[in-house]
Amino acid sequence: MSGSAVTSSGLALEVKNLVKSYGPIPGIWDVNLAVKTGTLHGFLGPNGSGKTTTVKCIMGLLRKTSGEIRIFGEEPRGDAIRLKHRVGYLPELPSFPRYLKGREVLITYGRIRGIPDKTKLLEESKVLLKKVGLDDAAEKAVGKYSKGMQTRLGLAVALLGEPDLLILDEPTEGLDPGGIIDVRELLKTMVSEGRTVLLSSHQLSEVQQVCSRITVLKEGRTVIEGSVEDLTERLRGGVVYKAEFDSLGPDLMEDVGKIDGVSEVTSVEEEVIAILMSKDYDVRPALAKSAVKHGSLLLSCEREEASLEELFLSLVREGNQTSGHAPD
Amino acid sequence: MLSVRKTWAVARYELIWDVRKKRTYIILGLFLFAALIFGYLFPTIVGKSIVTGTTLQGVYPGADLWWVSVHNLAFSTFVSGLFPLFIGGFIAADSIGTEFDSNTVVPLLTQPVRRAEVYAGKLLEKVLLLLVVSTIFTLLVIGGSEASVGAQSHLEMIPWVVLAEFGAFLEYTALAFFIGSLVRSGTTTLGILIAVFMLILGAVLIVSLQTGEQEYMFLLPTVNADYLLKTVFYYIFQPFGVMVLQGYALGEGATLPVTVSVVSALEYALVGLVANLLAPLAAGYYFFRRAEVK
Repeated sequence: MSGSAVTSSGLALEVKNLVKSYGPIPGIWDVNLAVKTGTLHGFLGPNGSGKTTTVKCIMGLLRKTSGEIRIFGEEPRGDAIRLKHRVGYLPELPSFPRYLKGREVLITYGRIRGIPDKTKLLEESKVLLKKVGLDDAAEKAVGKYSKGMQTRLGLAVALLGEPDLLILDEPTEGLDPGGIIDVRELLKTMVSEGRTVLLSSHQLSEVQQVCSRITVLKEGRTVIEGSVEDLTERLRGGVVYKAEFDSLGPDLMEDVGKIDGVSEVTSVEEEVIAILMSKDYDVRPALAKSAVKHGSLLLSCEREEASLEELFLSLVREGNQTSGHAPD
Repeated sequence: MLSVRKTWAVARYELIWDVRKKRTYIILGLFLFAALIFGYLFPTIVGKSIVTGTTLQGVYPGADLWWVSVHNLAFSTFVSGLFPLFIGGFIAADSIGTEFDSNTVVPLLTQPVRRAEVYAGKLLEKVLLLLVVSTIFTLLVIGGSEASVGAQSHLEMIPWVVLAEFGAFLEYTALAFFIGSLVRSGTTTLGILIAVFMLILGAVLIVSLQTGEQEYMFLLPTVNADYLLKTVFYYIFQPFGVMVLQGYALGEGATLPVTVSVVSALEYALVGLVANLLAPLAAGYYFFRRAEVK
C-alpha cells in the first residue's frame, strides 16, 4: 500500500451532494457516501439507480455537475495521478483489447501504471492471475475469455500496484457460484489486510454477506446510509400489504404514505399498491378510511410473505413511489 | 510534465493492438504488394520515355524512374490516393474511436496516467509504424525498379521521399485522431474519413474538369506532402532557381500560377505539412481531454 491509508476524517472516500446531469436529464441528483478506511462498504441500489454514474464520477470518467468528491481527504483534480495510484477500479463488465493475452493485460496495465521493475511486474502478474483463478488461462487471448473470466481479469487489473482503495462495480456479474464465493473471500482478505473496498451491487444478499456498512441509492439519491444490521433489522421488522382500490389517485397514495408505520408505497398495477410497513401495525382500517376520504373503495388488502430480498426491492423499486418516513 | 515511461508503455500497448489485428495486415499487405508490383511494372510498361517526356521532365528535372513510381503510387492517382487514407486513417481509426466503442478506454483512463500521455503514446506508436511502412515502401519501389530496368540513381533522395510519404500518411492519422476523439466511435470515424475523402475528391474532380488540371489529388491531405516531394526535387537540382506553384480560387474556374523561389516553396511545403498535422492533432487532443465515458 502506498501513502497513508488513514485520513483525519477516517474516511477513504467521501461523496457529498453529488449531482450529475446529462443536459436537462438528471443522472444522479443527491448522492452522499462516506466510506470508512479499512471497511468493506456496500453501495446498493436497483439497476438504473445511479451507482455506476456515481462510481464513474469518482473515477473521473464522468465530470460531476456539482457536489464534492474526496478520496483520502483530497479532491481529485485534473488527471489525479497521485490519487489514482491508490485506487483500483473494476468497471461493470470490464473490457480489454481482445488481442492481448491475460498475462499481457496485467503486464501492459502494470507498465502504464508506472510499475518500473520488470521482474516485480512479472511476479505480481503471476500472483494476481492465481488469486483470481486465471492462472490456467494466462496465455489465452482475452477475446476467447467468457464474461466471468473477463470480470476476474478486471479484478486482477484493479488489484495491480496494491491499491489502498478498491472500487468494484458489480464484481460478481457473470461469475459462477464458485467464482462468487472466491470473490467474497478475496474481498474479505483485502479488508483484513487494511484495504478499503467499495462494493457496488444491486443484490442485497451479496452485500449483506460481506459488507459492514451500506449506502442505498434510489433514483439517483442516497436513501439509506448505515450498518447492514440496521437495514436487515428494519426489513425484518417489516411486512408487505397489497391493496386494491376501485380508483387510485396520487392524493390517495400520498395519504397512504402518511399512515403510521408505513415506510414505502409502490404502485404495482393500475389500481393496486404495495405497502411496506412495520409488522406491529395493521394498515387495513386506516386504508379503508383513506379510500373513503378520497372517494374510493378498498376492494381488497392482503398481507404477503416476502423474503428479505423482496422486502428490499419493494423499498427501492423503481416506479411511482411515496416514502412513508425518512430513512434512518 | 509527461512521463516518458508511461507514454512508451501506451505506445507498446498500441503496437501490440496494431500488429495483432487482421485489418493492419490486409491494408499493409495490399500496399506493399502494390509498391513492389508498381515499382516493377511501371518502368516496364511505360519505359524511359515518360521520364524524358516534356511534362514530367518539367516537373521533375532529372527524375529517375523510382521517384516517378513513388510519386504516382503514393500521391498522384485516385487509387494511390486511397493508400494514405487506408494506412494513415483506417489503422488509426481504432486508436481513439474503437477504444471508446469497445469500452477498452475505461481500464486505460482509470490507471494513474495522464490523458496527454495516452494520446501522445498512441501518436508515438503511429509515427514509428508509419515511418517503418514508408521506408519499406520506398525500398520496395526501388527494388522493383532495379529489377525491372537496372540500377537506380539519386538514392540520397530516400530520406526525403520517406518523409513525404510519412507526412501524407500521418495527415490521415491526425484526422482519424481528431474525428475519433470527437465522435468516440471507430465505425463512425471510418465513415467520416471516407466521406471526407470522397467530398474532397468530388471537389477536386470539379476543379480538374473546370481547369483541365490533371493532378487532381491536389486538395487531398497528401497535397503538402506532394509539394514537399516536388520542391525537394527542385531544391536538389536548382537550389537557387524558381518554381511555379498552382493555386486554385474557388469559383474562378482557373488555376492561378504563382512563381516562387525554390527555397520559399520548400519552406512553404514543410510549414504546410506541420500545420496540416498540428491542427487536427491539437483539436483531437482537446476533445480527447474532455471526453466522458458513459
